[in-house]
Amino acid sequence: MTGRLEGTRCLVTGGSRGLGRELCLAFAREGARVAFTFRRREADAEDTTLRLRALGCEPQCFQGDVADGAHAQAVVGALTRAWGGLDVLVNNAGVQHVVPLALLEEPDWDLMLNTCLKGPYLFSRAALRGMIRARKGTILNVGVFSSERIVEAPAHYAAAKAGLRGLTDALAREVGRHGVRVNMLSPGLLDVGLGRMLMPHRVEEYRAQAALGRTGTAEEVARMAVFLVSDENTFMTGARVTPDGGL
Amino acid sequence: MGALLHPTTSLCRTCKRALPALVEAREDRSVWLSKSCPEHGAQSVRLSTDAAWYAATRAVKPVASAPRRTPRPVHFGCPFDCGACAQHGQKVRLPVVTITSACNLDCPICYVYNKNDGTWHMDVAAFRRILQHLKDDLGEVDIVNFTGGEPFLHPEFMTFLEVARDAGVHRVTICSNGLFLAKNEPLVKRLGELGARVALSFDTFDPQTDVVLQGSRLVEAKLRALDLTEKYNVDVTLIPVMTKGMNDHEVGAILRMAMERPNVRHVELHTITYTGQGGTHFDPSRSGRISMVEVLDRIAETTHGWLTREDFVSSPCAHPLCYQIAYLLLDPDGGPPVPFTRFMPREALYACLAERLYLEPSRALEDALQDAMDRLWVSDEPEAERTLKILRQLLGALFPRDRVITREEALRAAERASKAVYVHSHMDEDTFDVERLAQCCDSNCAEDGTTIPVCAYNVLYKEKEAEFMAAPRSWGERSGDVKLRRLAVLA
Amino acid sequence: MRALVARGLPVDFTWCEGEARARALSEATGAVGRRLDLTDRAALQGFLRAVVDEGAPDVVLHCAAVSQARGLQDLTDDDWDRAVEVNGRSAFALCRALGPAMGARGGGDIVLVGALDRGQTLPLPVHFAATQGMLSAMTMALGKALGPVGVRVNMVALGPLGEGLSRALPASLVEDYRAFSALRRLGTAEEVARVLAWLALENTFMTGRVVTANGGI
Repeated sequence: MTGRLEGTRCLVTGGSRGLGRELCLAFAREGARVAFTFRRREADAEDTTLRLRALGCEPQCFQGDVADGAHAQAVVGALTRAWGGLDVLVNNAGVQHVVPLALLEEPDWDLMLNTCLKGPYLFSRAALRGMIRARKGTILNVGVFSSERIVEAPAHYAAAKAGLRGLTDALAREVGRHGVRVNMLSPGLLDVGLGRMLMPHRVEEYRAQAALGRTGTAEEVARMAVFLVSDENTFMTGARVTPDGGL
Repeated sequence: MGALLHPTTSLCRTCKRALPALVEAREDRSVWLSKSCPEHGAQSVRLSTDAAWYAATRAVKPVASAPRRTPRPVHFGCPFDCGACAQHGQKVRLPVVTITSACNLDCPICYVYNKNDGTWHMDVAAFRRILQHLKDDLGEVDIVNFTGGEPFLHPEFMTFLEVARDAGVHRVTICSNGLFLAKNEPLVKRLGELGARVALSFDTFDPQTDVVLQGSRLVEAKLRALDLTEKYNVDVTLIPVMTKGMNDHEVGAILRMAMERPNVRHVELHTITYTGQGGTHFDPSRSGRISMVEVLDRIAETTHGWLTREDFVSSPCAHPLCYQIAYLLLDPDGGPPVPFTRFMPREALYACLAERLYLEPSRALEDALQDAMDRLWVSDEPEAERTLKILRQLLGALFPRDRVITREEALRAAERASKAVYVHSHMDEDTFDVERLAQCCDSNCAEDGTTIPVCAYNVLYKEKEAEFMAAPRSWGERSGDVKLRRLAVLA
Repeated sequence: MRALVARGLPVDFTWCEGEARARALSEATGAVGRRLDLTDRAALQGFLRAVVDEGAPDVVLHCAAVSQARGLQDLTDDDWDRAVEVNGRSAFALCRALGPAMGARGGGDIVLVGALDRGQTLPLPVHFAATQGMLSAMTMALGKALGPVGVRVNMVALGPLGEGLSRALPASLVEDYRAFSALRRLGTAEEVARVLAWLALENTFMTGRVVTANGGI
């Protein structure tokens, strides 16, 4: 049986761990060609690579800062040379930083906005040249449930993710006529990232608030993402999918 | 005659019968408890040197939290129906399990009874039953404290630890004099692996004082135990017993050491009680007696003000005259620790302590810290900036930007960022006050499901037990003439 | 529906007016079709009872909707009532009857089909727009109500398709849509069916949400 992403050329930013890694693995299971970027965690990147290889996928792996324009150009350029183009870009790289406004210093703000907002802009812009030329492609921006409604979230994080929502809407509108779709996936608290770090009472609060009574798994969210980036999905663009357990 | 503060029931220091007692403030502002035994005459003892502090502290009402199960009917009246009885005000927050009568020391100040001839050891099955009773009563067993004797002398001690761990007890503490730990590195290593904590008695740095209080020179061994527990990541609570004129001037030095040693989580300062096999004969004039507020003031003097009595709040889980608690934030840059009360209202700290004897991550604590950060941020006070910086470093440790840490790592980082100082005042026959006893949350737990407040256990109930006493006493006359007559009528 | 059958799943469906189309669908897919007028409360209740008696399904799709391309002045109270009955109340009755039964069987998915997620500003027929607001708000509350028994409820807000209800939209609106939507085209039933199938079959962690499949408006 051929996979749902057979031969699809996918790039996931921040793919060395957490949801990014699960996205890479889910895509690979469906037959995709997978590339991912990471910033610092070489051991995690190596681990992701090994897991992808175990699925029969030989990933391309790039180290760099998503907020570095040259890095974005280099990654997309290398993939274009290697694969002839790019079908799927997932802007997943993010920063987890929990801090109240009283302690939110300018470098924190810049790092957050650079990673979560400037990064997606740079990578989208780099990838879209080829996608528009091919009149085919899709971008999936990974947001967060807290940008969909008022919940307690660090201000710079909420602002960056809400900004990403605006970027998604505007890009969807702007590149739709070229057959390129841009959507947003905003998961709730998962078994990776923040969900593993929060104090137990916070996780309990989340469970109590969520209609499904649980936190999510990166694996189930990644499974949902497969459809969103696949060729089966032809009519959704500018859409927001928020698997958050019914918060 | 002074001003009456309140009446209560106490005990005769000699025959331990219940006696009506009055607590009064004298002109010099001291507070005295007075009573008269028909057989042994008038007795009075100073409870405090500061009547205003005593009255204000006593006015704090603990959070009502009655035990779910009260196996003993109210029959003789407090304190003779412990188990708990239906009039008890607090559920067990600190279950104490006495697992052996054996001890390798014979400390002059010891406030329990031990027995080394015909040693008794609790069997593991009995402990399992105790855990089951506690689970039935409390839902979850957050903490268990093993004591003795010296618990490490129990031949199956490790099994107890494993049983507690397997039962999901979050915090296991072991009262110890540290001698065993100092000599037994593999034991300490194993404690670290099991996540057990040691409550280490530590009264003095001075060898002479050591001999007076503990009957032996133990400082070197205790420091060695501290080094080893640090090496193997075993959290330690230091338990110094404060005795006026003997070691109270050392409290600042002990606290400083506690702040500096990373594995020391708490200091629980006890005030001397003249009960138990040592305490009853130690210091016959009882001139070493020291009240809670005196300890607080000695702390302020000997720490040069980085910890004062205003930094302490009562525990909402116990009688306010039994537990005073201060939490301190450590400065990673080496400055003096910052008591929580310097950046949050005392009421907020008090509220955060409502659920447990120890501060745990909670919504209330998070909100209090968030409020504190906002307040510090808008403040012009010179200390605010340093405190905010400390909190920022703490947040950085809880949510590091360059990596994902596990919840357990985050909890550890949070724990290691602060320390607690408890002043815990036990009662002996002289100071016995049933009002305090009725709000006790530290109970000695038995396999029949009874839980007896520790002071009642040490002063009264342990004497009934052949396991600990060469000549166990029955206690008919203890409950006092009046109640005895009533008993006769009932019979 | 064809998207579900294509995955080899047993499917039942209801129809009201398009008898010929229903027959054709049954013949092509082997699915069982039943006539049901959603404005007939007794019939709807009887049908839902029968479904529960047969054993609650794993997946329920509510696609039925009515609208008329009428301006505000021309809309009658009957138009309003009928739109509320078919677009709103029938979905409510369906979830009330089947949700708990699905929960008792271990959970499942309900997907409501609508047209608005309240993110758009469009000159739609007023009664139709009102029922769509009702549907999206109801989805949120249904998600909360049925989440604890393991039943997820989500809504797909469709853009205009080249068929079906879109023919009941003002022609100028459909043309504007074709010109200004991100994808610059109308949707097809087949592609939105894939979205419905995805939500119904692959979603495990989202509930109470409205997902748009509208080509970008």
